Amino acid sequence: MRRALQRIRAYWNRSAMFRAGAVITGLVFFFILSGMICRSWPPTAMDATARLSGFSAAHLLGTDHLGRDTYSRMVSGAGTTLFIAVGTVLIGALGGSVLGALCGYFGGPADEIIMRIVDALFAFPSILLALVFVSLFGSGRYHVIVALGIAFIPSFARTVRGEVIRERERDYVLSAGLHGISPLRIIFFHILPNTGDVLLSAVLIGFNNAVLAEAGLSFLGIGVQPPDASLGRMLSESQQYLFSAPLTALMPGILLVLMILGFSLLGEGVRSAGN
Amino acid sequence: MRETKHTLPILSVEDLQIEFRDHSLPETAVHDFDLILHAGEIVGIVGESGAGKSLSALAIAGLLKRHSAAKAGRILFDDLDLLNCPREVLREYQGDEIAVIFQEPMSSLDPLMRIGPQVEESLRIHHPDIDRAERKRRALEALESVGLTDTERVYRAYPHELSGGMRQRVMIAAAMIAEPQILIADEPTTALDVTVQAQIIALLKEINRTKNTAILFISHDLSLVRQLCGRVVVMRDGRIVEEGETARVFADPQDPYTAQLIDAIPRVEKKESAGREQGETILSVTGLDAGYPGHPPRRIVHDVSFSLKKGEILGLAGESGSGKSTLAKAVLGLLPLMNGTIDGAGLRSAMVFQDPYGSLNPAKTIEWILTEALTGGRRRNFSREELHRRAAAALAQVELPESFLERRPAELSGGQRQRVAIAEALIGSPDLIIADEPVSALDVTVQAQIITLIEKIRRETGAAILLIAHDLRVIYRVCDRVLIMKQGRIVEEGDVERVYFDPQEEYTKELLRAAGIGSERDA
Amino acid sequence: MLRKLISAAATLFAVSVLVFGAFALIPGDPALKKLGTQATQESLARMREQMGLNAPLPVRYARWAVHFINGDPGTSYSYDIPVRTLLGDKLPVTLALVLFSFVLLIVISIPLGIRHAKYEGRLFDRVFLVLGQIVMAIPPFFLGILLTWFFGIVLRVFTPGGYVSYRQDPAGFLAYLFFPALAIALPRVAMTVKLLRAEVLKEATKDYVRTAYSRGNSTMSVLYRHVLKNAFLPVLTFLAMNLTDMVAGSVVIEQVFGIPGIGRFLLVSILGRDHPVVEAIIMGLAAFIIGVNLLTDLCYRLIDPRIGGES
Repeated sequence: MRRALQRIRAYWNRSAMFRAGAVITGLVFFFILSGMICRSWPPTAMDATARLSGFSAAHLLGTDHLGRDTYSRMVSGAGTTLFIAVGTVLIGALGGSVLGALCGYFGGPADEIIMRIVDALFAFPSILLALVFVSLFGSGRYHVIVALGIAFIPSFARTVRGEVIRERERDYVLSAGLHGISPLRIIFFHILPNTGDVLLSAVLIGFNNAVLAEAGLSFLGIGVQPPDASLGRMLSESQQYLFSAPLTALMPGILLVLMILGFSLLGEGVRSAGN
Repeated sequence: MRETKHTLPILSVEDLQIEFRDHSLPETAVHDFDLILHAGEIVGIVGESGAGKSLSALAIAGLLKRHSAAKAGRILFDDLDLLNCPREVLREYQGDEIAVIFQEPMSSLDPLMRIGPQVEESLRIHHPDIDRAERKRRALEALESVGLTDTERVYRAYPHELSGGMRQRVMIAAAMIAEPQILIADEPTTALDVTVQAQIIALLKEINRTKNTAILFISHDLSLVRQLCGRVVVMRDGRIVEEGETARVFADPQDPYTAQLIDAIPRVEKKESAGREQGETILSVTGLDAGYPGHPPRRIVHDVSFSLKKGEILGLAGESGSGKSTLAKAVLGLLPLMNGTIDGAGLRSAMVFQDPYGSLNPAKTIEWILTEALTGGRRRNFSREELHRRAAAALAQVELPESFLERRPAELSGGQRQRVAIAEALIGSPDLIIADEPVSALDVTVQAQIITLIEKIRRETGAAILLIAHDLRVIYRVCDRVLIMKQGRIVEEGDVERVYFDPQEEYTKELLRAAGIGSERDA
Repeated sequence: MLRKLISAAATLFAVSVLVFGAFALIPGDPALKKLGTQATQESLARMREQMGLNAPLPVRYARWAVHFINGDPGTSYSYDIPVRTLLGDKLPVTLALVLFSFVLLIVISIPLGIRHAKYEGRLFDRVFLVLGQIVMAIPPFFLGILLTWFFGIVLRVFTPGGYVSYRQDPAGFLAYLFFPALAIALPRVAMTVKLLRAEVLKEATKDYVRTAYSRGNSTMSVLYRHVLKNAFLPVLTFLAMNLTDMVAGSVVIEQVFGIPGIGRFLLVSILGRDHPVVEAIIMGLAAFIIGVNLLTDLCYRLIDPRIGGES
């Protein structure tokens, strides 16, 4: 725990990108929390008296074409997006790390075959993979998590496999083998702690990609389904009112950019501070 | 007679000061550096890592990044101050009058460019009047003059198609093509095998003799400097501590640090036969073939037989690629046997690696590393107190304080890490320790300390040690017997005294000669 | 190279098995889909027989694959028109869009990346570092909306939704594609610039660069004669990956700008569960991606003498 704090302080001190990312991500979280605590309108409530309205006291950030409060829809949409991103990264990082670590350490024909498949999947853009999965299994938030999670496994597997292969050649691993330490212990207790920075940065970049992919799917109408709010869906709905009410589209878009920017800066910061 | 040849000073460095703003690098400063280089002389700069020798040389070559270092003083060449002149003026001299060769011939050549254009580059830049055909003719000539054959092929080759020694020759050809007055050689042989090393040294000598090029030779290896240089400058922590004729400095060092450096070179002189009592044979290897399985399997070690007694230190010498490490791995059971037998039933063995930066897990504390080695990862069988006690005891054996237990490898120096690595090998009370080049990554003075430690461990634990090294001096100092390996086979074997003073095989003689041991022995 | 070709063919085969298998095994009856819920049992059975759905899976796969190789990926469930005809006039649109954005990517990012590395640490470098990081964080569809809003509504440089077919007006078609192509390209430009800058700076610390300086090269000639070629190698892979990613980007961007291309059609087909169309598009994409990767390999062999020697 003390060591984790030390690491965070080291990232903070060493990398301006990490600092910027932390501040932006902090602001986004603050925005989401503030909305959860003092939500004046439920995200699905329609205020017929105010459609496509601008900033006002009643609707801080205006309303959409159905008179729904943009602020509370953004808060709820961002929450959904984060929820999906966490689930996605959890599946992708866990599945990918275990797969990549085992393949990287043991090698052999099994590794060859698995990595061939992973490479093929990796070459396929992840949003298309998710599209295919969703078309096979249907949409909705849990389907999206599973679809994106599986689509994210290849990139984590490749990253971790590369790291493990690099570390495996080092003498401390050979030395551990000579002391009779079991391969699984070597992989998870000796090698993986040394991939910490790379893995953490991959996880943060994973968040960035997950938010991007989820928003993309929802924008296309095959991600989160109504009545769940989602930033991507808000954008696609407000696109046709761009002429009369550009703010309804710009507001959720900016929040989305901030979320992605925050995670990507954090990830980059960890990576650059790590080496 | 040599004196008269170089009376004309061509380069003078006055009061050079270099300081990096970023102190994370090991070599970060040079203070009050003065040097005069005469035409046609060879001057050596020696010192351990962090002494500032390479930094001074790079400054003379004009290769310090301009914005990264604060510099003061003067570097006078041709009445021109190279340190403080504009880049454009400096460039006129780089490659034309002052040329450089570096330590790593692997990475010092552009991997995507053929050898020819790289050799010609200085000519192309400084003598644009010379046409292509003539440039090529001179490049081929230069390649030939550094002892390369089949120069047409080399001219068209890419760097990865050449061996390390060939690449260093190419580097020298490229440096010499514009016939510079000064050649700066920054550790040019460190990455090469001894026999190749000797050839490169001979080549530098010849260039110096035939072309009268002044050479500034930077090295950590005192015996090389002694073979090559007329004058030597000794540096420590960024300062010159001693300077003078090489013969005088070696015979009568004025500075205590110089004396310490010279003492640290293991001497090859008849030693008193200690009359060590011979223990029982604990390991015997017969007719061993080993290598890497695959399609097709690569057989690297052929028909090797040797035995090792309790408390004995056996040296294994040979150049890179001779199969030393493969043999060690096979003995440890890391590689499948292809033929032969290894008889060492119930032997507990451990290994010490060359690079103390790679052999300790960087994410863990020293205590964790030591206790993990002790328990083999099955920590439940031991109590916390016992683990701590055993780890501290292992550290004490290698003369490190208990407080090191909480540290991580990154917080230790190279010598301290190698001590920890030895402690890690010792903690399981092994009968056999295989040490693969345990001192070659260390500075000479640290090297001497680790050698002393290895001898002490043999005395105290009675473990048998197989010591792999390319440095024949180290082997002579520590070992009782030695195996000389070449291309996977053992070509000579015997007590070190016998092998060093009465070598039977031509290859052994060549190795000894290359290490400069012959001359010393005859003296 | 032959081995690469064989492995590419094997990958394509594996993808085809996966795609066919996945769509054959998911619940849902294509015959029912085709005839609607009012169909009688007999007509359904007849339809299944007619569509070859009663044969065992491997046979169905073989039939499908043979048809596919002969250029007939089947008939759309939704339109009852050969998939080939349906995709025929949409393919050029998407291809034009993807190539257009790829050209933009190359033309903008390579000079910018080199300039960036050259001015490392200066104002130009810092400003573009921050700018690049922000551009990278803009999702393509939002970038599309931003471009539409700013250039279409505020500045009125183009008419949002004013797509013209390439058959009617090729010049107008390309002109309309400019902003969509830009929306696809910009975030990738930022990524490529960043990578190229990092690679150039990384190469600049290598020993051979020091050697080049020691021979009296100027900074420019070190950069152009030595560093760039080496720095470009890793960028090449990245560019190839971008080419395939851009196809994915086009799905979204076609939606934003109302362009009737493959991407938009894929979406409609997924929502309408028009499996033959989806299968055909995915197979086409896979072939495209595999082809691009082969081409990249070939480029490496041409540039890097260290590769290719061994096989």
